[in-house]
Amino acid sequence: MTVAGLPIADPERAFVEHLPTIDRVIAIIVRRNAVSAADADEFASWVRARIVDSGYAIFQKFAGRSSISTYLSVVLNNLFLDYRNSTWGRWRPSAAATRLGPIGVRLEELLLRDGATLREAIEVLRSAGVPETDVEIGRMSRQLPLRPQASEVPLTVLDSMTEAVVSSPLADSESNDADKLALRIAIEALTPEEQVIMRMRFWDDMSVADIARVLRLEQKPFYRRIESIEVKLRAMLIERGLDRERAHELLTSEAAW
Amino acid sequence: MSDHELNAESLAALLDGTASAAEREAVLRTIAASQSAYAQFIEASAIRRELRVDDDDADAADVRGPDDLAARRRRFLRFLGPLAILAAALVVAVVSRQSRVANVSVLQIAQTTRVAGAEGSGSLQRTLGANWNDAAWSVTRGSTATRENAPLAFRAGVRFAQLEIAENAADTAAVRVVVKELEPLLASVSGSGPIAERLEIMATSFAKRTAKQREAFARQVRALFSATDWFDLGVWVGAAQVAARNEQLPFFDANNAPLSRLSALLTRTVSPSVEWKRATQPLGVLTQSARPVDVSALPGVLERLASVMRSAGE
Repeated sequence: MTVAGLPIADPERAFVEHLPTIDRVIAIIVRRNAVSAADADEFASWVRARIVDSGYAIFQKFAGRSSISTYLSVVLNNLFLDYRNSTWGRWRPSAAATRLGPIGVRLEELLLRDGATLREAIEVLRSAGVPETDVEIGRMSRQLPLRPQASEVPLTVLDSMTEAVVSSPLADSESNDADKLALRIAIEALTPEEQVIMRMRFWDDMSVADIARVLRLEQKPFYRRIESIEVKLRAMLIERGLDRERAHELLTSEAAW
Repeated sequence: MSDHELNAESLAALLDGTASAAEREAVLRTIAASQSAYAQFIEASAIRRELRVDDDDADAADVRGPDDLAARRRRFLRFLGPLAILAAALVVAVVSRQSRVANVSVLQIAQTTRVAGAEGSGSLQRTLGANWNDAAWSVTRGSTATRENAPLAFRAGVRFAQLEIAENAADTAAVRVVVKELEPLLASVSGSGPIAERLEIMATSFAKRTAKQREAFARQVRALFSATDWFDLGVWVGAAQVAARNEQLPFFDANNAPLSRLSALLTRTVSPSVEWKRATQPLGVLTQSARPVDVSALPGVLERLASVMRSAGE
């Protein structure tokens, strides 16, 4: 029996004990990512093999600082990203696709990476049990950025390209835009927690209650706190010459995050 | 095992609220600085939330564990088995169909109401028309949300029935529409946070739930209101409106569960308030009429239901 707050003494036994949780997390992951039934089975087998082959490393590493089910949620999601990269090639989703959630990421992969038509992509998503209507998927596809179809790029090259993008916050074509620079400076002046809160609020359009729930913050005082962060951020932007509307426009745009 | 920016356990501890201040600060710093770490955090929190919702449903549905039930069953059979089986056989022979239908709750009526030919996203609208879930109450005449608030409980009941019917049809578009109507009704009732969370999950990542999960969830929603009679009335009216629009005559047959349940509901309140009497008055005809409802009577039934919605929902 795994006891919350304690490391695991017998990782193999823990694996057997938590197999039902592992299967449930896998089921959630494959559904959220619109993985077909065949791929889902393959992923489930791959996960189990990976855990066993590593000598149950995920259980050995577990120190009991969180619940085992949350830990498995994180680890298995990471494994899914690894599996996706190893099986379907590394593909960095656009920020717009990420914002649409796993279905948006999968749709982008199908349309832009695999070169599928919208009709074909809808059929793939439908066969994977995605509940969105054709119209909704069509609407999502229009929010994805137009990009040239992907070609195979060596991982080392891709990593160096990514590093270059990450190291420069203004690496896009409008890097000299003074507004965006002001915005970046203002955001970076916030604490890390405030930055995450603002991103959840503006970029992911999450409700205040949901943000409080995810970050484990007490809800009532959080309303006042989020208001004060918004006021602070807007004041910094206005100080740099941006009006309220422009500030809001930028905060909800890809450039901010 | 995998090469990710965030330490898995640190992220899990942040999501569980068990991270130390320093660990929390470090994780948040990484999440703030990296797009992929942020995506990892958001997705892990969504998975965790779905996992917990499943757990809560299972807990609510299985208050007694299977082992406990099995032990009780064994004891029962050993000592009282033969007698009980004989008694049960007699009861089955004697008990009328009426008592069988009386055991069906109003919530179960909504959960078993299906629209013929409706299956898949947008199917309810295609089958019943764009106004399939129209409510007759005035949207501008809401009142303060409290547990005791009868109009609020009634409205929530109507929307809840529509939600169950939308789920029966696997109509994700309808689920989203109804959740949008139901969420604000529940929002200001204290203790509705976890329910709202589940509704949001239903709307964003629809997956058919088991009967146990549905029953447990329905009980939790109903328990938010002190005015449970009004909530039940809303559920019945919501289901009846859809049944009438779909010309389901058995729904309005006095020998079947829905109408029997309505009779029981209307007589349940020992000292009905003036508001209750006024609101339910149009339904009396349905339970008292000797003649079964035919298709030509359905527009009249719909008008009566609308009248109840106006009285009870405002």
